[in-house]
Parts: sequence; C-alpha cells; structure tokens
Amino acid sequence: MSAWTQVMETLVRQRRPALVGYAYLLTGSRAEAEDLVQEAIVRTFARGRAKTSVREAEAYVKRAIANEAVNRARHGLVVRENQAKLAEPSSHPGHDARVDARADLEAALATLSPRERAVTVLKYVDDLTIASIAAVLKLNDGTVKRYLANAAVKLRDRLGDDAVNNEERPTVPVNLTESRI
Amino acid sequence: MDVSMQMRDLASAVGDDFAMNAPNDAAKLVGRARRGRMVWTTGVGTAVVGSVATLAFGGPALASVLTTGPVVAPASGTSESPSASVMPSLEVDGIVTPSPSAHGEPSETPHANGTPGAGTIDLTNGLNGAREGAEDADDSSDDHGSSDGDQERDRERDQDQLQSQSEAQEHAQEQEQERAEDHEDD
Repeated sequence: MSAWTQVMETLVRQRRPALVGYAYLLTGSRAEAEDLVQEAIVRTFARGRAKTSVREAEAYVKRAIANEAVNRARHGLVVRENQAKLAEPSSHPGHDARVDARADLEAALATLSPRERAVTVLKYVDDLTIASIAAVLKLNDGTVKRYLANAAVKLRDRLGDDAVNNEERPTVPVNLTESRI
Repeated sequence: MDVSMQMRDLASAVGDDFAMNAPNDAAKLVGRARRGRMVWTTGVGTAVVGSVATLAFGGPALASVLTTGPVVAPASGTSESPSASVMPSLEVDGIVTPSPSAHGEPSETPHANGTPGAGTIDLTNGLNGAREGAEDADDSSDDHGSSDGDQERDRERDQDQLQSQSEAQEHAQEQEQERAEDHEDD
C-alpha cells in the first residue's frame, strides 16, 4: 500500500466526521455536506502530488470544501435544508437552550450569501486572517472585508450584538528590552 | 457565547451525528482516488509528451503526426526532390504558363495555392514545411553517404530541368517571332 493511500484512509476514518461538520457550516445541508466532503477528499488525492501527512491533507480538503461549497451555491446546486427553519420557529417542546442556539445560528447563517458564509466560516472556525481567506477563496482583501462586514451585520440582527466580534485578533506587543534571549 | 464557539459546537454536533452512522467506505474512496489519479497522471503525461514533441520537432511535424488521410500522404514525385517539384513560372508577353512539376508528373497533394475542399483542415503549409524539413534531413544524410547511382540521378534531373527551361525559352522566342511577322504583315 502506497503512502498516500494510508494517509487517505487515516483521514477518512479519523477526520471525516469533523470535515462533514465543517462542510455543514458552509452548505447548511447534511446530505450536501457529506457529498461535498467525499468529493473533496477524492479530488484532493486524485490529482497533484501525494499528500504525506494527514494534517496537510486535511488542510487541502478544507480548502477544496470551501471553494466547492461557494461554487455550488452560486450555481444554485445547493438546496438549503434550513430554509424551512427560517419560516417556522423552533418551538418544539423539550428543546434546551443549546438546541435553540444552534437553530438560531443555522437560521442566521442561512441569511448569508455563499461567499459571506464562506468568509465567516473561514474566519470564525479556522481563525484565518483576512489575507489567508482572500488567498483561499481567490478574492481581494477588500472584498473579504466587505463580505465579513455584511455578514456581521446580518448575524448581529439574528444573534445579537455580542455574538459577533469582527475585529482582528489583537497582537501581543513584545518588549525587546525585557526579552530573555 | 460568541458566534465562533457556536459555530464550532454546531460543526462538532453534526460531525458526531455523522460519526454514529458513518459509512465504512474508505476503501471505495481510495479506489476512486486511485482511478482518478491514473487518469490525471495519464493526462499530465500526455500533455508533457506533447509539449516535448512540440519543442523537439516543431508544430508542423506534430500536426503531420496527428493528421491522417490523403492530405498528409506525401506525393511520390515530390518526395525525392522537393526543390525540383516547384518550377519557376515563365512569363512571356503577359502569358503566364503554369509551373510544371518535375518530370511532368501530377502532384498528388494539394499545393499551397490550392484551396482545400469543404470540411478539410488546411494544414498543407505546415505539412509541406514539415515534409521539406524531413526531406532536407534526408538530403543532408544523402550528401554524406550518397552512391554513384544517386549522383547520376541528380545529374539527369538537373539536365531535364535545363532542357525544359531551354524548351520553354525557345517556345517563347518562336511566339515572339510569329507575332513580329504577323505585325509586319499587318
């Protein structure tokens, strides 16, 4: 068995559930997320040079998922399952606050455009910088900022003002005189 | 709870739910990737070989390799002496005589001034260039190791050319004389 097949099998067995959850954030559809992950994994290993580590392969697969999710959504190939959830409020008995929070989040994410959703997931889940998001989605930095700002407005409308912190993470200042080099 | 934590919770919940009923199709996915890899490798290999062939032999030669049919079939009369196949056309008193091919043999391939038929791709320029290049190579190899028979054949061919040219010139002179006589008679 070649090295890339071992990496692929390990990725499928260990990281596939997490990738499906990640794809669900981008698509809003469980079936679509599973299909997207399967296609992204096969495509990642079917072309290009062989991936030698699971972490490297997972990064490639995540990029492929993000781009493919945007492409499919923009071409109308994704039918969001939670469109109906927007119409009817989740007032089922027995739902705890956590489930309600998830439903609210899904409803809020459903209001975003495909690219707004993608930049939101890449920023808040992957902790990518503006430049990294722009590189992954092949957009300009300014475009990414605009999508993020629009998404933040929509998410705040649904989730409240405290839910979204759209600022870049502050950097820790380093005082060279106190360094112990 | 901020949106970042909420999104991670949602992703992990969906992932856990998927893991409960995750299909055991890793081998199937590996098989699909392996097949795709073979196709991809074949495609890339073909592209690389094509690029190398283009760089090594030039576009016309590649076109001649890729093209089949009567368009690319080399004419027997032109294969031996490409330079002799095109004779300079003689123009006498505005009368343009068609340029005959060597030894009076009709050429089987359409020439560059001929128009290709409908539905055919005109690759004759490139093909002629490729053929000439190949024949030049043959000629150069003949120069190194030519036999006496080949030299004699070349001499005969040159004599035929000179003879046909002189005949054409004589014919033109005769036409001029006839016209001069007709003019005097008038």
